[in-house]
Amino acid sequence: MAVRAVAGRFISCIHNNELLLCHRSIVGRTRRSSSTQAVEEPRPIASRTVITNPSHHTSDHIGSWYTLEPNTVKRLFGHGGIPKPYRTLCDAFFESSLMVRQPALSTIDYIKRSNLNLPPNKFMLYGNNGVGKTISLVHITHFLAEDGWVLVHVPVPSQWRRVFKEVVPSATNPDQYDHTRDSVMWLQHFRSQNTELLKSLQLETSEHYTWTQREATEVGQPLMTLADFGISRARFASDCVTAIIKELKQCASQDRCKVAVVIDGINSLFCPTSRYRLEDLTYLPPDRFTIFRAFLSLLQSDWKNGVIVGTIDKRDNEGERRKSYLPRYLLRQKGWEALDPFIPIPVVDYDEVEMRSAINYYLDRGWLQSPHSGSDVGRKELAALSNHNPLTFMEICKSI
Amino acid sequence: MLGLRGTLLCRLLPEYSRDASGALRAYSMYPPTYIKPVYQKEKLEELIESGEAKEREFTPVRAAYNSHTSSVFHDSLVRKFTNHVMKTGQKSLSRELVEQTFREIKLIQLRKWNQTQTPEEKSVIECDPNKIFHKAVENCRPLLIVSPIKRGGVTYQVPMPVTEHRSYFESMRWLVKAGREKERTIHFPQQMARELLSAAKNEGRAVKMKQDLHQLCEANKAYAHYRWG
Repeated sequence: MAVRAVAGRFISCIHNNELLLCHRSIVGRTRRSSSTQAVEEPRPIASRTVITNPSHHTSDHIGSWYTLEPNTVKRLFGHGGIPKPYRTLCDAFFESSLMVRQPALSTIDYIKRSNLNLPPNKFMLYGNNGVGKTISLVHITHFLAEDGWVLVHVPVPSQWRRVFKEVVPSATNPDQYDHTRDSVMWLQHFRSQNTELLKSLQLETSEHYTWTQREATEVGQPLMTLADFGISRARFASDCVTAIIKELKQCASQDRCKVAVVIDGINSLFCPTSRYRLEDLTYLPPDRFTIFRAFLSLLQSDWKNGVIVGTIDKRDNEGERRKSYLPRYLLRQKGWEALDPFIPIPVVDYDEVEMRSAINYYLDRGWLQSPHSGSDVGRKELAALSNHNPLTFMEICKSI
Repeated sequence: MLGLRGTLLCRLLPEYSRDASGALRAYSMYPPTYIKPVYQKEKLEELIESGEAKEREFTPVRAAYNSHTSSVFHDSLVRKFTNHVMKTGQKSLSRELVEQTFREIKLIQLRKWNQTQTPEEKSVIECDPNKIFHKAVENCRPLLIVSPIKRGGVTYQVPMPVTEHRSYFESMRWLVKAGREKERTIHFPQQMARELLSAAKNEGRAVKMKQDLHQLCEANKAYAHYRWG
């Protein structure tokens, strides 16, 4: 209105022709905005399920959304696990919801039916970029945590190979290299996920660990003291990870607990090179990293009461080996043999029901704002543009 | 030959212009008989209903641009704005930046929307980035501009009415300029989103630029008659 007032004042003092011209331009101003009118439709409500315990999800719930408690998200995924773009959306929506999908349901079903007296079963989710492997893994991790498993969760192992914070020669083994800050971060993640459970299980160390002349961890200490020591002494953090994993394997084999190993991008463990350069300018092979050896030891079949769930992801491989998403290609001979035998679980794009549910959820949360997006034409266009791929769908919805 | 007809052609068809020798040159690859394509489904239906389509039936049509789309999410003003953001022909980058800007707007507004409790407060918060963008552009459109005119050896900034086309141009130019004036650490989409949101509320630097121009017009109103002779 202030603009009009200024114009009005000015118009009054100029020539009559001028007035006419000005008037015409003001009349012209509503023209463009009126051409972008659209039909308002009532906003659909997302199909949700009130069942928040993943072990009760059945195939009836496929395509519906369930909400994780904020405390659960903070405890399980506060130090990583949910991809950042998804987390940003969850923050804006003030809720963390997942769609119940078939791959997660079948994995949960297989885990429930596993015989724990045999060496751990390995379930590998694989699929193309952005089909929802990590989100399925979040669903499965939530199930494992609710079901009383000790979680050994590695959200992004490829970071330790590519964008590590700091790598130093090991304090205890001259052949190995330690991640200091990365190991501390993983120990914090482990502590946040398992503190309550480990208190009730009362697992204790079975060995005497001598760190320095003055510092040592005695036999019979709670397992969390190892994690706490590693967090306070970054130099020994990688060795603490090794010790914790060794103790957990031992406890599980003695039927004192059940351990779930969850690794996102497991093929990263079998890549031939890391980005760490030695003094002779050669790249260090990742199997000389202490923590890589520790997690690789979990994949062996020399223990029981365990389960291994992982994803095989193109983007965790190095650039020249991303042509196919199939496990044999991404794992190479080495990984294929290390994981053999495993149960492959394909993750695929949305089907029609899931696509509709995803669009409804975004409309419900206000992420799709265009009045056309709920219409039949809009839905068809969204499905076609995204090719039913969840990540592409999220990408194209950002400006609509 | 180039007298009145040339001038008329220049006015009617912008792609006709004069070169250094004053000769008329056509820059378009199409002769003036070719009409522009209609690429939106609704407009096509309008033409068919009004019977205008019948008239156009045998008229040759120019090829559509690759930015012309019949998508229901297409907005011609947003497309124009993308071209304003663009530098050195990097259209895909500028489109990405505009999309990121819209995403930022949605994130900011949805956080606000979810934080408020009552439905009355919620209804006030506009979350549609397209509507916010249109409002911001409308709010930044000037009513008058100044043009330098030389009288008696002195150049005066003479206030003039602005055409609709030019007002949109100025508005979007100011908005992009405001979006680019930022700290090095802030990304363009974030700053642009803030500017659009404040311009939609009639605040911010782009609106200030418009008001400054209006003030200049007001101050120079004594020169208004220099427009003629």
